Amino acid sequence: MGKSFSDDIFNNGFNLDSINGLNISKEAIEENKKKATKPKIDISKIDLSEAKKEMQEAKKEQETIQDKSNELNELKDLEKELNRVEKEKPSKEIKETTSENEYYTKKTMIFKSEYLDIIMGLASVKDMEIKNVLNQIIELGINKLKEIDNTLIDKAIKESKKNKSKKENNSLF
Amino acid sequence: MARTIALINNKGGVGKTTSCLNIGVALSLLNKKVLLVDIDPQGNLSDAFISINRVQYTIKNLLEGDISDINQVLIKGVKQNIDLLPSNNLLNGTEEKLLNKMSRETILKRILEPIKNNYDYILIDCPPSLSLLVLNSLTASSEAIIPIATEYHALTGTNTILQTIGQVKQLLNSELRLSGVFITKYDERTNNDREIKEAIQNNFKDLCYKTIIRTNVRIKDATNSHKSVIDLDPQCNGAIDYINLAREIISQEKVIGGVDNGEII
Repeated sequence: MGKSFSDDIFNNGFNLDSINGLNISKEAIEENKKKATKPKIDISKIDLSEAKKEMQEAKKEQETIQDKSNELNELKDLEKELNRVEKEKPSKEIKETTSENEYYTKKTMIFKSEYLDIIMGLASVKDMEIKNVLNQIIELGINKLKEIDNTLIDKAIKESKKNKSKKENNSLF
Repeated sequence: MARTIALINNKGGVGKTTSCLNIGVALSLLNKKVLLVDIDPQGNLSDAFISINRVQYTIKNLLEGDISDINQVLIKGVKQNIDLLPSNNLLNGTEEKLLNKMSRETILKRILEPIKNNYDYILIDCPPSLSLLVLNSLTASSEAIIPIATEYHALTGTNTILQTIGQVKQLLNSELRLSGVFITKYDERTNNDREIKEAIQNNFKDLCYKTIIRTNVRIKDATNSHKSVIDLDPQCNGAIDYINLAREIISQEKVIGGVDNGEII
């Protein structure tokens, strides 16, 4: 039997894909092609409602965090302000004390410095105000004068009254 | 989902069955749930666990369609963490019967599909050929591993294997990867073995597993005793090497290479 040009030994209905001489079935090849091109996740079948719910919850959480964060910042600002005020407060007191001290320093400028030291020291030791220390020392002095000359103090008081009516300024200094 | 690994080499005697058995046992000892699939008509893997002449049903019945439920054929608990899909010499006539069937290359894949999630590893012991049964194994697997013995003409034929893997990947199983090659029967005392080892390592580079299965008389003893070498003598070099190889396989997070028209990519 001779060969004919109409014979086509390859046109036998089988596909031409083969491995090691074994013809591979079309169905298996098609199956592989479909699997290779098919995405592993079918997006159209994913239920998004759960994902949306989670997103909303996450958003709420984020807002809460943001609010808390803002509150915290406000508290921090308040704290800063409070600290600032606290810092300034003693300096104001110090100023007042300083001006008060200046006042007394001026008033006591007529005293000898050694007397002044004693007066200041007594005020500290006895925990008394300077004015009280001064008044007590003066009282002691006056009582001593009375012992020396009991008429002298009366004369001084009379003279002082006389001078008061003449002078406008009653200040000793 | 299980890592399904086909142990493939068209050369006989390189240690496919021994390796499939011992890697499987090692994996089970490392707490992995393992299915061993024997698709070799010689049935040597099955022989390590059961008397193959007394088995009622084998993988042949599933492939030919006599039985559709794999659980009727599966032998569970042949060892702790190991189940077996057995084979015997009756499988010899199966390929011829399958040649004209539709989707004949995907039959094993369909058989294993219902039970894949039950295992961490499925190891397929392939026959020493590149036949329809091997195509079925490669189509059903996500990975291929090639044992190469340090013997004369060790690398002869590996190109054909690589081409086969590449073609299966292209036509039948786009997810198939070459996980690697590992060296077996290595005798470091001989120049010949050392040269072949180097040639394999130079050829395959990162695809060559670091663990080498050294030649070890206990491995032969174990085969003769129908046991794994790990069970026979856990302290011997053979046992140690297979456990290390199993660890190396586990440590692969993903397959490390692929094959495209014989070129390793």
